[in-house]
Amino acid sequence: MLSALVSNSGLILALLGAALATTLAGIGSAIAVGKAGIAAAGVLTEDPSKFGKVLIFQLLPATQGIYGLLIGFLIISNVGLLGEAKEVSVVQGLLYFCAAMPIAFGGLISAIYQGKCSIAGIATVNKKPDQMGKAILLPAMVETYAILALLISMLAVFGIPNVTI
Amino acid sequence: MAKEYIYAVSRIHAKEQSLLTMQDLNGLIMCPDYESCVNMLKDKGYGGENDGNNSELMLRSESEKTAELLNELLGDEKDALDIFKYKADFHNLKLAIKSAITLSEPDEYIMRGGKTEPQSIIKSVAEKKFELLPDYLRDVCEKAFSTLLETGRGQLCDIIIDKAYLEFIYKQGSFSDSKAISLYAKLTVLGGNVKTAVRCADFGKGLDFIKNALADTPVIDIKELSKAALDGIDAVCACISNTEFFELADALRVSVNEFEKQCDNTLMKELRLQKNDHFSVAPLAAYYLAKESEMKSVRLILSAKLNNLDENVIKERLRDLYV
Repeated sequence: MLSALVSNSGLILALLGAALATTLAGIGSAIAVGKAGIAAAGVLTEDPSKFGKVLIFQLLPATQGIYGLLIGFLIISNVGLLGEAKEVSVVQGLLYFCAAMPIAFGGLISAIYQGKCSIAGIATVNKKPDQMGKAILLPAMVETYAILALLISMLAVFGIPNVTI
Repeated sequence: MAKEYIYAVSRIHAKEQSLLTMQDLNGLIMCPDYESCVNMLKDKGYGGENDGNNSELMLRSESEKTAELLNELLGDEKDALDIFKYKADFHNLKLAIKSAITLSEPDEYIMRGGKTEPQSIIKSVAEKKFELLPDYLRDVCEKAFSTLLETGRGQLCDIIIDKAYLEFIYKQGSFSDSKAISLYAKLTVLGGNVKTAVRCADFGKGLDFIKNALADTPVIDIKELSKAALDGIDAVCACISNTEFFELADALRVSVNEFEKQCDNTLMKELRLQKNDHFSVAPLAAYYLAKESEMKSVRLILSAKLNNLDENVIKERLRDLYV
């Protein structure tokens, strides 16, 4: 058992990275989409005609979960879990693990704050429906940091197979 | 972690749009008579279906609607806004004691929306079962009841209850995490103490009487205030200047009414800042107080219309609105 763990520790580390990327970013999105949904429901109770507008705000923080899924998918694909089995060294496994961290934590935290910003945006649209464009831009700014995290995670995951160890 | 009121706040922000604006109030003031004022309010959705042209019924329905909405939104956290309900309870206690001693019916003056059912207060006092009253009313009831029985002076009874109310409100406000609620408590105490001190001095009461009538809280030094009340308005203004609400001192120089109005405006200014809070109970408290203030303004306009008062008199007394 122990020897199997040691011989597959590279793969385990890579999979742990993929799991964290998907789970943490997903948790962030779930919290944020959930809270924005609650706020949207509050508005809809009083004015159901605003459904289309508030739905966009609710969906804004959902992207981090998708980014996490994407990185998770790329990692498990690169280590051969989806196709032909590959040899993954401990160092490579650790590299995949590190590559997953930006989107795991960047996704988690940016989703939560984007959710808060979306709730504020819902309040803005609720009072001033004509300010939809401006209101949507503010939570969208938080997305920048999720994209930056995704970019670094993605570049790292793509680059790891080319690293000579 | 502090409880978040996301749904409630979001819904209350949507509800805020149905609050009357200053433009609406000006429209009411411009109405030629009482009936057109009532009709305009009805068009705005004010009151209930069966209120007819009775403004008191309309305002009561409006108040009940607000209480119902907040109860629904707060759910299990109903106690969060209790601080606003105690005023009605202490008021009903005064009625209950007086009606128990004079054997009269207090129905007409009962204030609804309290924490405790008015009839339960009235019954407990009438049957002298003070132990059935909630904790915050029990001791003060015994004291006020025996004072009224011994002296026959209703004013003394009122002073005892008002003092207990202010001290209780201050305590409740100091427990609250909400800045709006804590400010409400402080301003209620300040307004109540200053009004009592000035009125007592006007009626020629002595230093000890005034000091005993004032609620002892850190909001204002009651020793200083009671002495100042005897020295005149300027001294009271100087006393207010030593508190955190020093900017209200000038309003008292104009009149006690103006002082009360500025107390309300100070609270409203803080409440407007709470509009951008999307998570705490503060916007709900702000809505409740905004609705109260709106109803105060509507009542003022309607009674002015009934008594054919000048528009300028109404405008002078109107409070700032939340929206």
